[in-house]
Amino acid sequence: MTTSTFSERGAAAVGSAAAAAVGDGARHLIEKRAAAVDAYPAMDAMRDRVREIRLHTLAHLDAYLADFADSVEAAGGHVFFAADADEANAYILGVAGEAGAELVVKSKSMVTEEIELNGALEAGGLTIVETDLGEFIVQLSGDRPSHIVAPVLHWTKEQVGHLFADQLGVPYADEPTELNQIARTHLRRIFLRADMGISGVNFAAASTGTIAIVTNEGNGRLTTTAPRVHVAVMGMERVVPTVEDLGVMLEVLGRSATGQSLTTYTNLITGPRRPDDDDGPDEFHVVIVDNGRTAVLGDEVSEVLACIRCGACLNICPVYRTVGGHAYGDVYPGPVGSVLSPILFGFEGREELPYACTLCGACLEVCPARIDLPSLLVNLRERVAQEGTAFSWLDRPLDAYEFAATHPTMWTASIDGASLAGRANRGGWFKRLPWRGKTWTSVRNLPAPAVTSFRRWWKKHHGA
Amino acid sequence: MAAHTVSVLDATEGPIVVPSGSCAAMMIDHYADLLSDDDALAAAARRVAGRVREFTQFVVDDLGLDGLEADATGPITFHPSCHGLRHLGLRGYGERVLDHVGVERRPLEAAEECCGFGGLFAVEMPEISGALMETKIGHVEATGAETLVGYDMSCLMHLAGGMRRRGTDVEVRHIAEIIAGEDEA
Repeated sequence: MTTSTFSERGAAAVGSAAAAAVGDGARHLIEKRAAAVDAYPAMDAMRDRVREIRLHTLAHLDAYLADFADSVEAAGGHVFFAADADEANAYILGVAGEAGAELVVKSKSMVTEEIELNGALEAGGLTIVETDLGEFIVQLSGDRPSHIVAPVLHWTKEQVGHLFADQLGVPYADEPTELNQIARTHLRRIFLRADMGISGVNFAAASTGTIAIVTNEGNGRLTTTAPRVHVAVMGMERVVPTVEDLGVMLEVLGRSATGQSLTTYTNLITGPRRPDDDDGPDEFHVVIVDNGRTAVLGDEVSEVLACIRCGACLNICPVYRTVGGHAYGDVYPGPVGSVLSPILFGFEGREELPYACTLCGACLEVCPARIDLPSLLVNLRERVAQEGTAFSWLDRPLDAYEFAATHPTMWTASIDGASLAGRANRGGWFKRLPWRGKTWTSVRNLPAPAVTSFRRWWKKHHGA
Repeated sequence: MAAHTVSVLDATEGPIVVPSGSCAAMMIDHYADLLSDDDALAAAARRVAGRVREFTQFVVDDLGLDGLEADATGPITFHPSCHGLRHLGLRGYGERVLDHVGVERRPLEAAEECCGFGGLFAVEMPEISGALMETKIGHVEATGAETLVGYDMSCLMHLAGGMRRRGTDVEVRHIAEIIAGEDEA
């Protein structure tokens, strides 16, 4: 977390090439979602199912997590409950040490971004290679993801072309298929040498201990099968009761995220390699990360844990599309991030996130779990307002407004006074207001008050 | 302030017509919660909420469209503000009123996208608000309409101020002004 505020970072991002790329990319994704939803009449009913399953699971999370752990162990895997990032990272480093691992491949995982796993493993002497194309670009360039599904939405293909030419010693190319091939060729050699694979978990089924990983590049499959050891890292809310429930999630995840009825690869993994399996890891570990989630379960905004990380709320959010992901300052941007980040990581330095929203309600219309993000943001605003830690300069003007609005004589006098100002500036506009007024006139004019107030007009034309 | 408004309105009778979806949504969906500490006020807030009608909602659902006329002649375009559209579920209401009175309504690109007003958001994050506004104004300009019509005064004030700043020659009118015609002050 930097010391700047969201509004400062957002203002700086407005009009930047990165923000414009995010805006275009997000629009494209949400259009693909709309087309997929049109072609899938069951979507609304499935969203109801998703919500029901997710909220049910959250209400009994301890029981389902215990079931899940038992199932994983019965299938020959290991489970570690990590209270926080340090515990998760230390465990994974320990697994790597015992396996004598040096080279680690990773498929995309937001929770490992959250716990800053790469840095911890590198500090422990390991070499980590991200194998999701977007995350690979992020790692090569030392950047940060700007979207939870499409990490390099803020990049152009030309930028990627230059990065690959500089970093991988290949000729410049900017055709997506060529770029993909360059990354594929580079990564394939690494996959074959890797000792350990680390993946995320899209969903985990408690009844069977099965984890689901969806990708479009096949890197998830290689990460989880080629190396000797597979460590899957999941936020503790990723669990659902059964494999059937997992199927419900997959019906909506691809459609909501990228407009795909299913992603290109859907991997269902239960335990390590069995004696008669052709391939697969010798060891399978699941690290279940709390890192603040237990506290959220008891919070008024606990509904946010029903999120299935599709990114649709980011894609449709006019604010996200205008400022891009980095302005939010944490790994989870957009509307869902503005709820999650303060509640998971603390309000300090994140006081403005609940205000990074016009309450337009578009996110609620697309959320596959029907999470009422606008209401959750308002709930968080109430807490910030109680503390007075964001936009407190508005308190006094609003107090004055409230006083006038609750005292009819004062109100009428204020309106008549405003009409006088309108008379002085007949039919005109204020281009530059002093002091705090400039927050309005910095980007737009303010109409001068009407010469005749509506109340006086009404009295004249319709009697008192 | 909610307590004051509820008390004043609870002493009246009949529909309470509100010319802005965001204000109507506040009264319908939030006043009872805001006043939940006081049982009598919360009950009054629920009574008031049951009587509040957003303007186009009142026109379409309560008054009926028969006999409605318009004064405006030039082509218009319509911005359905977010709170009416999504919060109150009034998708299509404004368009029905406008199409009924026979004004030439030109489709607005990305009509359902927020204009960037967002209440205090407009002054808390003016640069971001302004960027959303510019996008919306660009779409309005592309229609070639002479008038932008909306049903939320605050969004319209923001957009009118932005157009004035930008030099966009498009009139901004609340939908009530289209139906009522222009009346001298």
